[in-house]
Amino acid sequence: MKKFTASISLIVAFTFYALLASTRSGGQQISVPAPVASVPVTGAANSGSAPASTNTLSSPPASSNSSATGMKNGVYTGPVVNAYYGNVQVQATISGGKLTDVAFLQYPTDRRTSQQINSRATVQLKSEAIQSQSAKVDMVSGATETSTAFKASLGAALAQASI
Amino acid sequence: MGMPITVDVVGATDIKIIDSVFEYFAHVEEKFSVYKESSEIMAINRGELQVSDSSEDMKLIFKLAEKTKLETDGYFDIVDRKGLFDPSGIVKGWSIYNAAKIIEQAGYADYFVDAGGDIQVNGRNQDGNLWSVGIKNPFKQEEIVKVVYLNDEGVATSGTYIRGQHIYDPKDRTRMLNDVVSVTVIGPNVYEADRFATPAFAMGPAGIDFIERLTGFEGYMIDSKGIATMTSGFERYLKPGNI
Repeated sequence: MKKFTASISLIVAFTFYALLASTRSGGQQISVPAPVASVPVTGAANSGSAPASTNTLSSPPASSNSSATGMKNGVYTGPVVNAYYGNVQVQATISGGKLTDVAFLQYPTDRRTSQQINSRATVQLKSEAIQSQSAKVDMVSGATETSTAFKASLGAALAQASI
Repeated sequence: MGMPITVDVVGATDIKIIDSVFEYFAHVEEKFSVYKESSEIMAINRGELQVSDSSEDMKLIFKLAEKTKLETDGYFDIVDRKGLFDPSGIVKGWSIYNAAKIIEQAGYADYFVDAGGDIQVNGRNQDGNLWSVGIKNPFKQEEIVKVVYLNDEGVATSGTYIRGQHIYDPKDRTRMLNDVVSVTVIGPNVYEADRFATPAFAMGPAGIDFIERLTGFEGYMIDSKGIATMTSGFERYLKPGNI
């Protein structure tokens, strides 16, 4: 039986930006959080934490094409960034002024200890192909915020591509 | 980095309870942020403060981090590549759980606290139903691939979100890596779920077996081919009418 209540539900969203000086005032609003920025934008915002001096331009663009997106075509390698459990390093390919590919040059599973654990025989757990759901939910749990190392490396790679 | 925080307290008529939760998060940020030179953790990193002389919260976090490191065979470690302490992997779940306790102590039984997708839920939603949590599609930010229904539990997801990109072997670019992109862990509270989600993701495909072996935890792992693997008790969270 559906319960009717006259109660008020307070939903407040708030965003911390650690790189900004103050989070104490002005950040509160009555709304649900906006979707987190896409990878290129978020990555670029993180580039400050990854020193540009560690970057290497692996293959300079043959012709410096630019576009409205503000990125030069080419292949750019980000710095090695620690991800707690190993190092992450990515290589970004800009083509037609857009990010078209991201390759992992270093990946935590390359570590020997990981490989040992991965090769261990395990019980068979149930698997399924993921499927998009249309259900309405109260909240969402996702991976976006935890991929700091990936974003830091990609951000530094993209910083090289910016005009 | 930005972290959206959402707090929903059913039946709250006074904004003060929400304010006190955000004041708490701001206080945690001031103390533990490695992006703030004025934080206590940065004083420790600069060698100006010993952990033994630090605040009770700081000592507790170091203790909890050490405990988690031992329990995860070293897959969880707050010492970064430069040898500095970054305890955010343990502070996040811990602070969400403490924020939930602030709401509880104010006399509310139905609420959730969501900080960047790591969530503590209690009681029921405003319709009197179990709280529903969507698991985000790691390949499409705006989509969900599963809905779990929780009562007094915590959920946390660790992983990599890649928009329209493929993860492939850099040595053989024709080969897609069949690797883990996302691990969602449901536990007795968000602190417990969060501190095991990070190392479970780090373990690669074996991470879901690690969660399977933990008592009181369930998990849902998604690999780079879009195949999900779930622990043996996970499906009980898929029913809206359980408990």
